[in-house]
Amino acid sequence: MMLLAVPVLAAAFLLVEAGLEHLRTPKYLARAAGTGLTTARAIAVAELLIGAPSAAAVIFGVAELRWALAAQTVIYLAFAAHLWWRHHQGDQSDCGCNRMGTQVGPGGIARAVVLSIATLVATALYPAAALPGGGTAVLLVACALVLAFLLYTLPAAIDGRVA
Amino acid sequence: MSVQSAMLTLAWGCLAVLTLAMAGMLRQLRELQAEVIALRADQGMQPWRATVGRQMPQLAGAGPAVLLVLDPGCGLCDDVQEPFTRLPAEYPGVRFEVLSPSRLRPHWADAPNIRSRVDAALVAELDLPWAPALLHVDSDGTVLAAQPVVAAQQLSEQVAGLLNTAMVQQGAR
Repeated sequence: MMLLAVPVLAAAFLLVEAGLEHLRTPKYLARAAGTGLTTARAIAVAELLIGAPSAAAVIFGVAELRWALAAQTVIYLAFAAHLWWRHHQGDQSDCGCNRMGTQVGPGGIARAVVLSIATLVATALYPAAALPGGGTAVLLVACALVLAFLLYTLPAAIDGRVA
Repeated sequence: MSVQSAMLTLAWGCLAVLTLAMAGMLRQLRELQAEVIALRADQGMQPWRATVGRQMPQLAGAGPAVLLVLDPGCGLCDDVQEPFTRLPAEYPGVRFEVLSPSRLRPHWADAPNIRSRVDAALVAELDLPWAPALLHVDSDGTVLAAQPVVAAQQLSEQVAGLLNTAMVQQGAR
């Protein structure tokens, strides 16, 4: 279960980071998602409200927080569908993934799909998918942070930055 | 599964993500290189050729000059300062100047025997594809040769080559 917990935790960290970035500069998300600033701020708040409890659910194994993992599955799935639709339309503008200004492309879509599947499996197996206690948890959280950083830069590396 | 096996598997997973990212970046680099080559082929010339041969009255002065064009935020631009300040002693008859589109760092302004100037319009008019760049300018302001600075350690050799190239070109005229 440790193998599943780490990518799910990384996905939660990514969601928190995206929420913070979108809250700081909502205009990029508004432009990418084709919404107004208010909606962009609402999405950013939702990302934070899902990401933080989801991370807590994986780290502490609180049974009441299972909803956060389910919500994380939905938000990543919705994001994957949104990106896939834009890619299908030939849209090569900013995906709104983060402030790196990444093009919509297969890297971003694949990342969202894989993270939504991992979170779905973790939701189904929860609380077995939570991290074990003790020193191992610290190692695994550190590993999740590294993975989150790699996943943060992955779409820009694969799909390229917006011209 | 033991903690060790899990950590090892996760480390391999991270390496796989890193490899994917590197492969993506290399692909982008190859695409960019192909674009640059195509662009050069379209132009049918080296981008530097657009600068060479132009007469810029603002660069005219007593005798030939070696002009170092800098760019703000260019890391190499600071590295070339020390070897560039040694050059006036090696070439007594040549003017050495530094040109930047924005405010120069104090160590450039304080360099002896080197005239420094800030002129964004002149830099834009030169339309150089790379910075830092070395230009050999004639006394009437004609750009005789231009080339990018490759490395700070090779600056002296580059200047020697630049001056020779320009002399050969002048002789051929």
